[in-house]
Amino acid sequence: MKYLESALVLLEAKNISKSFRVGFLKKKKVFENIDFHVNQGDFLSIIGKSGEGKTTLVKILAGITHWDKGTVYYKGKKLGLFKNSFRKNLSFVFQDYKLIPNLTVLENIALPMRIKNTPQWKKKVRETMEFVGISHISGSYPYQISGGESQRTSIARALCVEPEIIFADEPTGNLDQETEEEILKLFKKVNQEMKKTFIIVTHEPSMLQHSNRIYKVEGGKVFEIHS
Amino acid sequence: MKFILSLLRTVGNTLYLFFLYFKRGFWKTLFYFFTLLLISVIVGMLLESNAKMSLLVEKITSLLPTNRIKVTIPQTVKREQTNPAILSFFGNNKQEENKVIRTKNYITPQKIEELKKIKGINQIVPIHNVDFPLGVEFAFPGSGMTFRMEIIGIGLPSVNASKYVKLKENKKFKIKGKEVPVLVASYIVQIFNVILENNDIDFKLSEKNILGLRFNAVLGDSLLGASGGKKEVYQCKVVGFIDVDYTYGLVFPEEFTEKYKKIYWKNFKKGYYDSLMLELSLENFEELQDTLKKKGFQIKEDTSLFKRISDFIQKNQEAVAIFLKLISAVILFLGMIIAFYTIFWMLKDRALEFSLYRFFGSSNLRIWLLYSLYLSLINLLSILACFQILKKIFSILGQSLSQFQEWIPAGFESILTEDFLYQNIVLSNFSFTTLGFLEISGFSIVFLYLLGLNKKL
Repeated sequence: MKYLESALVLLEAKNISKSFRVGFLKKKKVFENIDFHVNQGDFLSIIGKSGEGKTTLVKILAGITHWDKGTVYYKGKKLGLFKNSFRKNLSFVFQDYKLIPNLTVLENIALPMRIKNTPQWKKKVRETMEFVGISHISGSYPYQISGGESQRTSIARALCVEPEIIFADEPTGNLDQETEEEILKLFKKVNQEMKKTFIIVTHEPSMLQHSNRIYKVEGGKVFEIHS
Repeated sequence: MKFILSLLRTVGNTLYLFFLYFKRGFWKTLFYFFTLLLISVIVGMLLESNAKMSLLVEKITSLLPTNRIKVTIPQTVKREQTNPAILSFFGNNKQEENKVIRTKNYITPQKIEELKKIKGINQIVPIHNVDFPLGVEFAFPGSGMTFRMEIIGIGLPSVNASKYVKLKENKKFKIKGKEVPVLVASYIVQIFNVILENNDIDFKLSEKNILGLRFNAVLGDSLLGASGGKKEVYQCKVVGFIDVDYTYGLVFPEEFTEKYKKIYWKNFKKGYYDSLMLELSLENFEELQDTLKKKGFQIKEDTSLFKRISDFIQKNQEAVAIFLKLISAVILFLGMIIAFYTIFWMLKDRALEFSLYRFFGSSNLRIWLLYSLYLSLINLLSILACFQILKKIFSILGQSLSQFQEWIPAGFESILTEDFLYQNIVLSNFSFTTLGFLEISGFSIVFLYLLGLNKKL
């Protein structure tokens, strides 16, 4: 009931614990009873040292990875793994882009819509490509384009499905500073113009400057350090 | 309307995703297709060859049964001559006192009766040897030349020979006036052709045009032995082919040989024979042979080339079949490993794709069905191609083999029939079974892979 009272809370994780098996019998705890929430329209950054579990946290929130204990709520509804009703409202931008090499930029962007049988997918692809500025490379294959263009393609693919939340795991990790700035601007543009919520795992200080909330993952716990 | 549009969109998108599988892995798809094609063609060829060989052996066995043996008794010939300086064959010349008296051991009716009582002897065909002077004169149509030949012959009872007679008017295999129906061994055709070739006669005989050929049989005349005395000429007509045994060239009606054996051999009587063709029960084949030996019979082996080849095939068929099946199994096993590995290879390549599909909302069932159907289509195409290729190969082989049809001894024509040459025995079943196996394997492998697929996101 609490979640219905606050229209701003989009996603909430309660008492989440997660451990990984190390070897046959040993288990390594990543998180223990962590709480986390995302408000609508947030530009939220998650920071932390390597190996602290930032990516795992994002994947749990995105419903890609299993968690051991606790509950994840989306708009007050309990979530399970790979729930399609939830999945259709989120998208993901990967550090290594995850573009299918034998498909053109256009085909890569259109793929989620064709899987979901989205009507008027051509129009949406065209508009999104224009929005992210990659119309000129629509027929190119991923190996023919630059890192920045690949990441824009990945962002376009994420935007096409009209998600409420966009997860991004170190989206500028493989890019030079100039391209990083461009991508950051694009993210902000999407956040402000299209009112999309962003949850970004990052190390980049420039990304943190633009974030309205920052979470830090450390020692199996999550702390909100800035809001 | 909305539903139809949605349905059309779903179908269109599904077809698109299906097409993407081909686009994504075109070379691997080709590799998988050709791997399957190559393996199935090799295995199919081996299995079909094995099936044809088995059928061939079955046919040969039915024509030259392994349980058929020829027996005789030791034939001691005695000659008595009142005056050795004078030779006379038929003894009805003026010098009666100088005639040669020949006797030999014959298989008597009593002996045959004894054999009839033995359990396991299913059939007895009595045979007369043409062991009296007999020459053959013939002229090939259009050649104008007359040839003389010595041909070894036998006499068979009409009842046993009738089934080999082809011409309707001679169905009973009986002498009509001075015309004697004759059956010839099929190798005679080749002998005639050699004679024609050696005499520069541009004419080739076949089994078809030798039927109805007439020639003279001259009794009392022989190239090999002494001739003399009264000669009697009979017109013979070739009425069919017989290849039960290759120790003779001509087969005369028993009544013909009987008549002259009576004249030539003093102790010969009606119902006496030189040898017997027996069909024994296979169950106690060895025991029966021992019994026959104990009763004083000798077993004569058919040493003809055809018999030797057929014996060789029959004896080695089992070993060859095992060998072929073993090779097929090994190739199939290795082939399947390669095919399955290729499927895994193709699947591994699509781990990211499947993970993205799942992430973007595609169910595992949909991915499984879509990819399995894609594999099914390749399987189907490769097996169809394999079937067509094998059909063509065996049709070409059949055509090549059919050229040997005219060389096949008469009586054995049924070996190279149209059915045998052009009908495939196991090919349809093989294709169907292989396709079924590939489909089940393909669906299972994709299912297992998706179950254990590590998310690549």
